[in-house]
Amino acid sequence: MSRLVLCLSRGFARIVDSRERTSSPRRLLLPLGVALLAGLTLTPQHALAVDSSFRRGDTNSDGSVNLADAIGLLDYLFSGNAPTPPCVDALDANDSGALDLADPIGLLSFLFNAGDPPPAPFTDCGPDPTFDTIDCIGPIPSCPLLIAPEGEFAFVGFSILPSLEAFIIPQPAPVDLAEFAGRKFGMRPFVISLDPSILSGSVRVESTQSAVTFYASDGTPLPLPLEINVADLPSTVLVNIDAPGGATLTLTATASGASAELSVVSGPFDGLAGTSLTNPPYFRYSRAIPTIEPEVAVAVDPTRFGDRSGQTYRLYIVSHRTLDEWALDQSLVDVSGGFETQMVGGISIQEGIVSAWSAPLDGGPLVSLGYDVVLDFGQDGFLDPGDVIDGLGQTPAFSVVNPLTDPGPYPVMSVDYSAGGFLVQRSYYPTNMATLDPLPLVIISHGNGHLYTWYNYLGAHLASHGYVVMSHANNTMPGIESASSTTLSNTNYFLSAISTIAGGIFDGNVDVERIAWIGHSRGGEGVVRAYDRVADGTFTSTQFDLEDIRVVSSIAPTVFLGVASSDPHDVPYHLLAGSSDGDVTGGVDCQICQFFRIARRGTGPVQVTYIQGASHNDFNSDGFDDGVGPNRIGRFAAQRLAKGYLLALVETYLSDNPATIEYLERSPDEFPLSAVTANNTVATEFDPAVIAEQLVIDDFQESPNDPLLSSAGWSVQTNFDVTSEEVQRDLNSVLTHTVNDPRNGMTQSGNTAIESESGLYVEWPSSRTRFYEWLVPNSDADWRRFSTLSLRGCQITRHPYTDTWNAALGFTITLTDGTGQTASLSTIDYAPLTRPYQRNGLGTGFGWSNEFNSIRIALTDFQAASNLDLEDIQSLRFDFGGGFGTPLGRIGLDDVQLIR
Amino acid sequence: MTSNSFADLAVRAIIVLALLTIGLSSGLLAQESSNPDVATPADTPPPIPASGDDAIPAVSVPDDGTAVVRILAAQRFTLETPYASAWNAERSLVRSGTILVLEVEKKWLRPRQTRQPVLYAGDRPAEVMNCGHAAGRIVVIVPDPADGTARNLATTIFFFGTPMLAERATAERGRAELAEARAQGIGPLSEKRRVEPSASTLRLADQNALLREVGARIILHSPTERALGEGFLGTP
Repeated sequence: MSRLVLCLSRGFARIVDSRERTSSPRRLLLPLGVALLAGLTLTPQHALAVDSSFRRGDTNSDGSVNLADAIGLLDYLFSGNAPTPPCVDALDANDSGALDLADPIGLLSFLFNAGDPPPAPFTDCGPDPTFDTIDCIGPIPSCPLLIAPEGEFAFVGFSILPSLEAFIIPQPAPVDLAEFAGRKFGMRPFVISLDPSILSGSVRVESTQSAVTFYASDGTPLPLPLEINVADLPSTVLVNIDAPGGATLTLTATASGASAELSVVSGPFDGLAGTSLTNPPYFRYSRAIPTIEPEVAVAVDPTRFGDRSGQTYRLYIVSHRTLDEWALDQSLVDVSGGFETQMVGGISIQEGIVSAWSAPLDGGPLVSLGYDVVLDFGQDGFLDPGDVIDGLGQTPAFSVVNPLTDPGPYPVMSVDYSAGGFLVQRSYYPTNMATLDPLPLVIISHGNGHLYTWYNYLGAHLASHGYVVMSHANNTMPGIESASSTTLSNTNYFLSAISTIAGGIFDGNVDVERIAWIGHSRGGEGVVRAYDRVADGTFTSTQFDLEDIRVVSSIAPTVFLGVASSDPHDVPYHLLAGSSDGDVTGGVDCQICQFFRIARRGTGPVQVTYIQGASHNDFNSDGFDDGVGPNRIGRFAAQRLAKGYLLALVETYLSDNPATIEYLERSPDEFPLSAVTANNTVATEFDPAVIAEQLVIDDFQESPNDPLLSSAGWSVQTNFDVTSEEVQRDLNSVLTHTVNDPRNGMTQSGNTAIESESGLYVEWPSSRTRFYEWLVPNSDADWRRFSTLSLRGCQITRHPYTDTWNAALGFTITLTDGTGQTASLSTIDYAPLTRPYQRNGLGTGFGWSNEFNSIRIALTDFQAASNLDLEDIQSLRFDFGGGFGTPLGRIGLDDVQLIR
Repeated sequence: MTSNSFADLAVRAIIVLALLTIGLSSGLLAQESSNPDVATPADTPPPIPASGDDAIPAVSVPDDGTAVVRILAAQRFTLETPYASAWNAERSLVRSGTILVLEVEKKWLRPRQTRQPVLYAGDRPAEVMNCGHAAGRIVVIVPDPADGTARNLATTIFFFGTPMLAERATAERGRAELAEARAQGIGPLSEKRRVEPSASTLRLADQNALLREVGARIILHSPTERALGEGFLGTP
């Protein structure tokens, strides 16, 4: 196990890292003793104390070793009145552990008689690699680096912050002792000790951040500031951080006033597992690994785990365990064919990538199977505090996900029943549901002229994965209010009569607090209206609460009632639509067809799946073919995509599957549902809920008259000739390109008073490059509390540049930190902006909706690309054209934000 | 359609009618929906929200009087318990009316999600209970006016009005649509294109019972929509 040890020595504070180092067992004495006293399972090879950085032989600490040093050394040894130099260890020129005549003789021999050079550290600065009683108490001005040549964490002093931070994966603070038994494995142990010669006073421990909490080894919370009597030292504490960010821990010896500081940092942390990439950022962290991937890779980024540099660990992929399970059993059983032994090192993430598990990957019998990643620094085959574990708690480090388009493991049956009128239902269920935990409920509301029997493909698919799916008759002909009433009455009926319907087979087998509403066309608007009615209190039920409706999805919905009445509010909302729809076309000439408006209205998590080549009735079994446009994908392919994305949706919001949201959040280029869907063109859009953990850099709403000022109040600079912030609403209801309609093709915002969704519009010819740059004020420079840079973009349909390029589009995003270090990533590697569907009509030319694509880039990707300092970001810049991506284009951008 | 399927259809219709006659299914269904929390079709939607909506189109009757070909069947009914109709903005109560089976030019029945022409019986939307696109036949409920007088089929104008949602049609709108239809020269169906209502009046308990009557007729006249009809009939 690895330990960071905080020591107070000789009245001065010292922070040392007690990690594995087999080459210097002599230095184990104090930390090992401390650890053993604390009752920890510390083995000798895991503890090491190191000194401050110095250069051996440089007795006057002037940065060089020469005759003056030898003279000074003789003077100190024999004059009797020379002051104690700042670093006595530097005088031990032969590293014998004692100061005597042999030191100046050896030094002079080296300088003038070709003798052996002084032992390390020499000529570079560094800590003393061997144990002795002579220490360097520093700081040494000529040795400013606190990183030893071996990359160790080595810091002595009481006024200098260490340049390396102890990284701790954030986790919730344990609420009780029982939870502590599992949570402790995610905490970082520290041993606080003091030079034994100091017999009085105490040590005070403080933190600059309340998110940092201390615990005794037995789980007792230790409130900060913590005061420890000298008599109780050495003392072991476990440090927990429950929110991303940094903190400084300060130790003060009350007797002398000396103090030591240590920085701890927690986040951003995207996990350890993912897939390796050829180009920057070289690694993609992910909570989901599709089985079609060739391997699971693990990245131990040395820039994040720098305080463990040089340490050896065993890499284990283990089946996910809960806190309780870890508390009971810490043995590590690798599932990937055996653990790998690795060392933390290097300077970039590329050097920290390990191929941990080669295909075939085991996704288990269900949708996915979770795994934890353990870096066993103790190398003992057991999880201990001080090891690194990703996946501690309910959420596994990653899940291997089976193809979401494949049927699930359960055989399915359906049953029809009716209470008359529009209380008519067909329900699909796993035949063995009585042996399973109560299953979430998915309710399907069909569209106008459709039948409740037309969704066998979806009902059977979801049921085979462990859902009860009820499809009901829907009174859509009168309109949307009527449809919403039918959704509500059928939901009520199912829940109220669950003990009797279909012979009572559902009684006790349905989780009635986990319900999804999925509606198609008029029914798609109807389910939103139904939610709106419950939300605004105009409909109440004793059968379900608003909170029981966990997610609402609309397939090609109408917008008859407008978004004031068909308002998803803050429920997780999903829109699925096709570009070939000949009915609810989404076109600029038909406001009640502009389904994107509903998505824009939602304030909860919003996800959009826009499938090129899919038509309206591709999403049911029997509707007539109304498709328009080229490259139609057909009913089978459209339904395959619908099955996959809707399974991801209900897994995410009804079953709390932490992996499947990746399919909704990220581009299908990154997360194809399965191998067979890779050729489909799908635009995915994800907007997080409006939550506090966001920093909206620019939503292009607040300052339409001043595009050089962002929503966050940041200054903007650009060399675009023309930029405009305008409402995302087409001006003339035709798609023919004209300079008088800069928003051509936009349907995100309707023509009602409450809709004013705006965005940025930019274009660049092939003749020169353009940029758009936000200058980050110092008050917002620390981006460590965020995980992701998110934005949305679309190509503008039928624009000459769009037509000329005629393909997916990308550009470059660059971050610059306070040192001038830059990190650039290409959006094409994340989410190419889809080429508009080549459908004609509504004027001249080809091209249809301006479907947005979400671009989500983990901030750690920028770090991985070039060791960027996320604590001090100075600018965010988009570059277009030239070598930065697509040579020419016109695009819309929106919602540039940082999210957690 | 094969002779076998015709026979099957006839048998099913006879069974359905027999069940309706002896009232077995109605008793069972009434028991199932006796829970006050169970919404019934009588739980009609609320009035149209007043603001923030997409525009309702101006009156523009696209029908030239040929859309409704003929009345194939007509059955008077009364209800012990009225229901609030979802087919007009006022949610007016339906206490009595006529079930009609109409033959309609199929092009008017092609189901759309966006605006469809609203079928009017006089100045009020008829309640169209099935799609009918395949068969060219629809089963509709024509409620009586508020005063309870039966609509005279010989004088009632059936026409498709402005494409919109029927639930948004106000009484004023209905009058304007009717006026526009008359202005276009649309008149009542001639005698040979209609039948008179059956001599007897069905005395039904409520909307569910009415929809069972509708369901039986859907099965009979638009067999591709059997699932819809059977749903109205109820399958405990």
